[in-house]
Amino acid sequence: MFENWDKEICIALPSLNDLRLFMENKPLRGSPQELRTLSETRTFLQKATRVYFGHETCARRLPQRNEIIEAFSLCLSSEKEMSLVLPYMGERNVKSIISAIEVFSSLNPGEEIITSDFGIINFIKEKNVPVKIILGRLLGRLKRDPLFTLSSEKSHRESSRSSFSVPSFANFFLALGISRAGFDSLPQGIDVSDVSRFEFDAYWPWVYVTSGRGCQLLGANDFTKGKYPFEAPCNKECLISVLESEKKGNFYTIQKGNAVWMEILHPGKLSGNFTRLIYEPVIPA
Amino acid sequence: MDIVVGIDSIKTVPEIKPLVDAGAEEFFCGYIPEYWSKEYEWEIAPNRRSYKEYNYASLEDLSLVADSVHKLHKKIMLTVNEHEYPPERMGLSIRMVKETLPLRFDSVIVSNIALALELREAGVDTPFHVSIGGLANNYEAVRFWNKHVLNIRRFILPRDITVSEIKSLAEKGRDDGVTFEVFGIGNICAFSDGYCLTWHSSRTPSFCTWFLNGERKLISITDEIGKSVSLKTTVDFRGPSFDSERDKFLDSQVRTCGLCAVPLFKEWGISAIKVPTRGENNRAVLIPLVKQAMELKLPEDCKKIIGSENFCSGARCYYNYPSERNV
Repeated sequence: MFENWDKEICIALPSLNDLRLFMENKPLRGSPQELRTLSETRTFLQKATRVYFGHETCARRLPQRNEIIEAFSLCLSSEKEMSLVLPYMGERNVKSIISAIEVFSSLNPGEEIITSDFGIINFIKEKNVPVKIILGRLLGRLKRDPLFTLSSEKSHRESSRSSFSVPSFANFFLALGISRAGFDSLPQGIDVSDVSRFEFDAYWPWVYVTSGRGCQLLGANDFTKGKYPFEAPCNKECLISVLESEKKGNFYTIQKGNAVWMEILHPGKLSGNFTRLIYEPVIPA
Repeated sequence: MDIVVGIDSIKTVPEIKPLVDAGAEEFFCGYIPEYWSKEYEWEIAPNRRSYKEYNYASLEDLSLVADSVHKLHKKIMLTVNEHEYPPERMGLSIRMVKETLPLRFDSVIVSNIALALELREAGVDTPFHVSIGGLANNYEAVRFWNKHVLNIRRFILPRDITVSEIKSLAEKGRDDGVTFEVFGIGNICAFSDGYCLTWHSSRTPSFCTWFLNGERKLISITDEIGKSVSLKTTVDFRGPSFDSERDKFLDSQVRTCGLCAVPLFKEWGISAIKVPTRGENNRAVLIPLVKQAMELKLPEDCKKIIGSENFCSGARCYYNYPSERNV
């Protein structure tokens, strides 16, 4: 699908360790399936001119100030641009996320922050923080599901369309100075061909499915915590293991961290002003 | 503090009155007319439940429901709270809301900010409740919505939130005249609804149920393909076994519970407790439990209503209050 991609390529790396490994040209770390996928797609690694650094789904994995500073320094020395990716936040995460925004904007004013949280957007706009906001792919809420195949052609077509095709939605964000948004490269494709004045990112090959602030990995060794371990202490178990279901859906599905992901090597057609490929060598979680 | 209950098929005063007598003050419902279901069958809905049995399918039925609820001097809300509305579905949804205006719904529950703006542009001035799909998960996001959309009456807080966060939001909201609704009892989502992009449709099993129930493998992260996989443990999220009659009843009817935090919510001025029972048959069980909890002062007393230490051990808790981690 992306073999002939001739526009900008960015690489998504969720942690400083991932970034160090990439910059040192060392093997990245992942589960066996992630590494298999990486071996098929690794040609994109060297073409990246920008790093999307940070974690989209878990505020516990927010990079610390020193990590953001080191990440920026690594990118600078490798002549790569850096965008900061922020997770969605609960009320208790607000202070730490504001701190991350402040340190990043002071390092390189005018650079990009990718967010799927309206609160972060509000903070940046109200405080006139000198960054460019990009809407994260978690706000491109087209449906996707390892189990689901649509029966009607109409539903299939509809499921590739987004609210961006409604002028008031796109204009709302344009009025806020936001003119770029991310989408997963979905099996059904994406059709934003009728959206003007917006540019879009295509994330590939790992598609976001769902997540929550309660992380099942925290409960992985103690079933009394059930499905909803929200307050269990976090030792960043997601850095050492992933969860794979015994059951098989239509697409390979895995839980890494607090989020579930599908592997979509061959997405449907992307129609519209897609100007960036966000390549995910491993799941950015 | 009101009890808000989801309904789906009951229409008349004799059918709704028992719920009112049990303590329900507000109701919410979905509407999928024939002109919608003909387009998308039951695969795509204007609200978060594309199931026939979760929705009213005719304006006549909807009119009867609204009229019955108002005759009982209670409130009723219409849910139009799906995440995405491309142009065709946006048009149909606006049409649906406009044709229900004579029914005088007390509010419309929305998640998509474009739909909210389009409804205002179309002359719909019914107050909004921002659903959990509206992603108002922190106070900055609440302020975002209030800044850009007129006449929001209430924000519904997500399931995955701590008691201390609810307190913080309630305090800030009090200063700004913002009111909140919280989940109190009933089915919990393992994931965050606003960021859950899976299908909830009558055509397929729910992804979460499929993915989380049953055994899973923990697999090590490594830097080599083919390196031996460490099967640390198999993980079964079915939780503790419920063997006693009481536990079996709670498992099947209550499923998940946040009653221990209800006295706090009342103290903090939370407007409403949500009982999500669209498509369910357990309203008659859940409403009295919530009503009882609202009369009590201490979390321990609320746990006595449940009457099972096993059930209250954490796995089935919305808020797991009081716990040292949750304050």
